[in-house]
Parts: sequence; structure tokens; C-alpha cells
Amino acid sequence: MMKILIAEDDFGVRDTLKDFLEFFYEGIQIDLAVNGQQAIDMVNAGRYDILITDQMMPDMTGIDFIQASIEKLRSDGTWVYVYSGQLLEELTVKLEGLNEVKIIDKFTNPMFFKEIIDSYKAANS
Amino acid sequence: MNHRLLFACFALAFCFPLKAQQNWLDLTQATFESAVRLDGTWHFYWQELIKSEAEALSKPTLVNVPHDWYDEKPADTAAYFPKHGFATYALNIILPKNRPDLGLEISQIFSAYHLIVNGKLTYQSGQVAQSRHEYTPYREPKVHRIDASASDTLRILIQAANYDHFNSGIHYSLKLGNYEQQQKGLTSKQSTNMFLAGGLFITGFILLSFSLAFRQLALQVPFYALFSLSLMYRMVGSEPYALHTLLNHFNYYLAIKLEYGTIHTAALFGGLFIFFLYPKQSAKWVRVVFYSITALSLLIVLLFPPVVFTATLKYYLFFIITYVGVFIYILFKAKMAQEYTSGYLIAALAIVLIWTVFQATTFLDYGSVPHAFNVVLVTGIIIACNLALFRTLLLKVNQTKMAEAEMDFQRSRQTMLSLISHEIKMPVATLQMNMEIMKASINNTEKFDEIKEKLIRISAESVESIKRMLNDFLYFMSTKKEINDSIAMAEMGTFLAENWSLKLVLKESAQGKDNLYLTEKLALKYIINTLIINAQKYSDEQDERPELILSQVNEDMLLEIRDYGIGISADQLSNLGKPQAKINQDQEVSGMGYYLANELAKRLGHHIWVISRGKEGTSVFIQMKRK
Repeated sequence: MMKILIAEDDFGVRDTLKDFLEFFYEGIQIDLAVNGQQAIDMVNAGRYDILITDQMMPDMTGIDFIQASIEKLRSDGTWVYVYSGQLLEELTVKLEGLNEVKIIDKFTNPMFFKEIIDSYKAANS
Repeated sequence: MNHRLLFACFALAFCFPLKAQQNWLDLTQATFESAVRLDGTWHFYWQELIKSEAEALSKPTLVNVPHDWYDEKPADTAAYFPKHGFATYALNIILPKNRPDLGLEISQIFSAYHLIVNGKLTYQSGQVAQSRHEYTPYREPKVHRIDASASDTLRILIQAANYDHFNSGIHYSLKLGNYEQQQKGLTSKQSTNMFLAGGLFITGFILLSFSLAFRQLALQVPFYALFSLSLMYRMVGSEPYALHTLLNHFNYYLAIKLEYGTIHTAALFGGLFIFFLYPKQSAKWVRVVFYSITALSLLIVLLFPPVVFTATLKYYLFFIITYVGVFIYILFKAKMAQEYTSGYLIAALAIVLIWTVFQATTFLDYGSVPHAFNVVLVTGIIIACNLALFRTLLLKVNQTKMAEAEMDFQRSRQTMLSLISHEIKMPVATLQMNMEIMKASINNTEKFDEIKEKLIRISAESVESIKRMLNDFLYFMSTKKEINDSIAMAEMGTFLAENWSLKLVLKESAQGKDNLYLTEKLALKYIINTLIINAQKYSDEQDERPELILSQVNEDMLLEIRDYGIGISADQLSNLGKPQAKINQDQEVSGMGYYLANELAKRLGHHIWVISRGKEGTSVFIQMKRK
């Protein structure tokens, strides 16, 4: 079963994204973290295939969370995605040295999340 | 005695001014109400250092005093005396019977001298010697006291030696007068110069500090500061040499390099000041010539011994006098081109130019300017330049503050837009996902039915959220940064009552007050509205409704928006006001709404803070300063 972790402090977005992915896919497990610290704890406690995180969270940024967990994420081979309202260039600068992290700049097109899962499935089939 | 009689007749025949003739000066008729110059013909013993004329091995030569000895030649030869060497001057003065204590004022004799009065060594300025190796140059203006009880005939001998300066021997007049007056005059000149130096120092120091603090200030400011500091040194380190008197044993070589060096630095920074003030009117070649000649002359001062640069300085002074004309021309052109010029600045420049010409002509022995006139000119320079430059500085500081305020405003707006942009993406994405689910629901109605109600509720919330953010966005795009509105305490009560149907409590301290508070009513309405929406949003139906409490604390107006909702945690409290602070599902106070309200309040000069009352709810305070 594919395991996905969504780190998002906004209840509406978090819940809708979970419903959205579960609506389209059978056999996926979606875990939810409401802030950065909870997300770190969950990454340390288990293995995830895909991690999708918001950049702007109240306790820490998505990049801070990724940097804190990067060794574990690398060893788990987790695909890491971050999204934000910030400009792409601004976020790219902050992500220097974290080449495996991809930016979701088409957040308002939810079909992009489907593409991520389809790509992962294709790569691991 | 025959000599005296002869000389008295001679003096009467020619009346005043009295001049020494043939080594004799009869002052029996002098009252010494003003000092008498001991100019005239003195005896001169070349390469002899004697304590009385009786000791002389050779016959004296008659030389003119004041005069450089190298401009004189012995009667029996056609050759002039060399510049460097040693000699003794001698003069006999016949004094009146009744006279005050007399003072002999010697400003400087090049470059070392010993004063011998009636056979007694009275003063040594440096060390006179027969070789360069043994002699020590020194300069310090001095009034030498001659007691009233001394003999009626003064036999003055001055031993002098010079191996360093372009001038040699008694170049400036010696003055004999009332000791008290002479001493007072010299002290007064030195004190005045010290006072003026203080003015120039403060000007230079303050302007230099300002230009370091506000690095974006135009370069004219530090240039003027350095010009002022150079003038400061000229005030104390040149005639009447107040610094030399103060330090007592000021190293001659250092002192003379500083004295001549500051002529160049004053000219250089003065020139830079004008060139940078009016760059369009200053032709490149004019600047290049000025910089090159000044740098060259300054290098000569720094690298060569005094004997070289004391000789070359006069050529540089001619050059500076020429450039004074150029500066006047630049100023004239700038005025014609209607460049920004302060009246004070033009006045200051005019005085500087006059002063420079006078300084140069005095130095070149074309005439001397009375000290009082010099003081008036320098005082004029200090006052006019300070007025002009402080005015310029204030303009610059205001410009800097305005630029910083503009940057703050733009930065704040950028942050707000970034926040709104981020926040608005969330409900849009939520709606998009819901739409995709609805589109796909045809193939999976059973699953759709399970989430249908939640989907509708979240969609409705998303639409509300977008509407609110658009409102915020439009508001912040239209806000102005100037604040020129105000509100009175009583008016504030009405303002609150008219706009929000909440319980309003007017504390006793707020009643009957007509103080005015600086604000912008539309922005204030937005701030209060945002905070009230938050308060209402996190109060349950069974909770008491939020209330507004208005009071005056000290001179400030204080509005409390008190709710009885679910409260705020310590973590949330510490994060308030930060851009990333956002709504938490189970926590009070909207992060973004509060952030925007807080930013706007700061711009209005108001202060917002939040106090958690635990389970009893939250109080948000807005403090407004009195106008």
C-alpha cells in the first residue's frame, strides 16, 4: 500500500486534499500532520512513499521541516514535494542543496497531485 | 650722548613713524599707548654669535629690519648673504624716563633665536648654533618683559640661526610697547583663534559623524567637514600659534609640516566641496588641473624638508588665488543655471574666498589683514556654512527618512500581498479539488455521497474566505501612507456605537475628554472590524457577546475588544504578528487578519497587543497616541 504524508496546518485544505486523493485512488494510506513538529515525528516513526508539505506553517516552514528530516527521507527514498504562495524563484533559493525536493507551483491545479501519484506508481511498478 | 642728541634731531626732522637709523632708535618721546615697530637699520654680524657688540670680531653690516638676511649684502662685496647660517642683530633703543613695564613682542625669527637685553640672555627660542647639527629650530610668539627699572638705553642683541626655512632672520617686525597691553593682545589673539578652532572642530566633527551615519548623504558634506577641520588646524597651528604656546615644546618639523599641509588640505577639500556641489559647472580639465597641482604641492610638503616646501609654497598660493577666481566663476554659472543654492552657502563661499585671498596676500607679504578682520571673516564662515549645511543636512535626513518610510511601506505591502496570495490559493485549490471530485462522481456515486455534505460546506467556506481576502487585497492596494486625520475621544465613542452593535463601555477616564488622536478613520475601521470578526468567530453561541471598552490611560486612548471565547494558547500568543501565523482550527485569532490589522496599526502609529484571559477568553487592545 502506498503511504502518503500531508503536512498542512489549514484544516480545509488538509481534509479536502485527503478526500480528493482517496476519491481517485484505492489502496493508498494518507496520514495528516497539522504542523511541522508533528510531521517530523511521523517521518521518524514510519516510512512514507510521498511527502507533500505546505511551506508556511505556524511552528516552522516546510523547508525547515524537510531539513530536519532529510536524512530519514533520503534513506526511505521518499518523494518530497513542497507548495507555497511564495514566488517560485524565492522558494528555489531556499531549497538550494535539497535537489530531491520538488516545488509544486501549480497548486491551484489539483490534477497535479494525481500526476505525482501516477508517476510514483509508474516508477515503482 | 652725542649720538643721542644727533639721533633725536634726526628723528624730529623726519617725525613719525620712528625708524631705527644706524643701529639707534630714540623713543624718548614715545608714550607706548600703541606698540612701536622696531623697523629700520640694525647692525648685523654675519657668522658671529656675540653677547655685546664689543665682542664682535668684525665690523657690522647695516641691514634693514624686517627683512630676510639673504636679501642683504655686505657693503664691501657684491655677494648676498647665504640663506643658511648664523648671525647676530644689534639695536640700541633710547627710552623715556617715565615709562610703563615694556614688552618686546617677537612673533617669530627664522628659525631659532636667543634674545640678549643689556648683556643678559633673556630668552632662547630653540637653540642657536654655528652648525645645523647643533642648532634646534623652534617657533612660538612671545612677549618679553622689560622692567621699568631697566636702564634708559636698551641694548638688544638677537642671535639667530637658520638651516631650515626659506626665510631667514628677522622677517617680521618686532614690536615694543606696554607689556600688559602686548601680552593681553597676544593672549587675546590666541584665545580668539582657539575659540574659532572650537567652532570649526564642532562643525567638522558633527558633519563627519553625520556623513558616516547617513552614508547616502552627498559627498559634499564630508568634504566640507574635512575642509572645516583643516581650517581648524590653521586657526591654532599658524600665526599666532596658539597650539605652540599650549604645547610649549611642539616639535618644529611636525608643526611646520602640519601648518603647510593644512593649507593644501583646506584648499583640496574646499575645491572638492565646490566641484561636487556643482559638477555640471566644473569642467573636467579645471578639476584635473586643480587636483594635480594640489596633490603635487602636498606631496612636496610631505616628502621634502621645510627648506624646500617653504620656498615652493608661494607658487601654490598664486595658483590658489587664481582658482579662487575659478570658484567664483563656477558659483556664478551655477546661479545662472538655477542650480539649488542656499543663500547661506553663497554667503559662506564668498567669505571663504575673501578670506583665502587675504590669507594668501598676507603670506606673500603683500600686506597684512588686521586680526580682528580675520576673526570676523572666520566667524562669518562658521556661521554661514553651518546654517547652509545644517539646512542641507536636514533636507537630506528628511529625504532619507522618507525613502526609508517608502521602503517600509512597500516591504509591508509586499509581505501582505505574498500572504494574501498564499492564503487565497488554499480555498481556490480546495474548490478546484471539489470540482474535480464532482466531475468524477458520475463513476463513483457511492463514494461521492459519503463526502457530499462535507464538500458543500467546505466549498461554501472557501468562497467566503476568497471574498474576505479579496476585500483585504483591495483595501491594502488602495491604502495611502500619509496619515493626516484625527479623532476625538467623544467622537470615538460615537464611531464605535454607529459601526458595531456591541456593548460599549465608556470608562470614567474617557468621559468628557476632548483630546485628539492621530489616525485614519477608514483604516481604523478596518482594524477594529478585523479584530471584532475574529472575536466573534471564536465565540460560541452560548458565550457572552464580545464587548468594547474605551478608556484613557495617561494621555493615550485605549480600546479593548474583549471576548469570552475559546481563548488563545501561549504558542499562538508568541506567534502573533508574524507573517506565517495563521488560523488554527481550534485556536482563536486569525493569524493573517491579525497580522494585517497589526501592520496597518503600526503604520498609523497605534499599538496593538493581545492578552489571554485563559478560559475566560481574549482581550485585544488598541492604543492610540494623543495628537
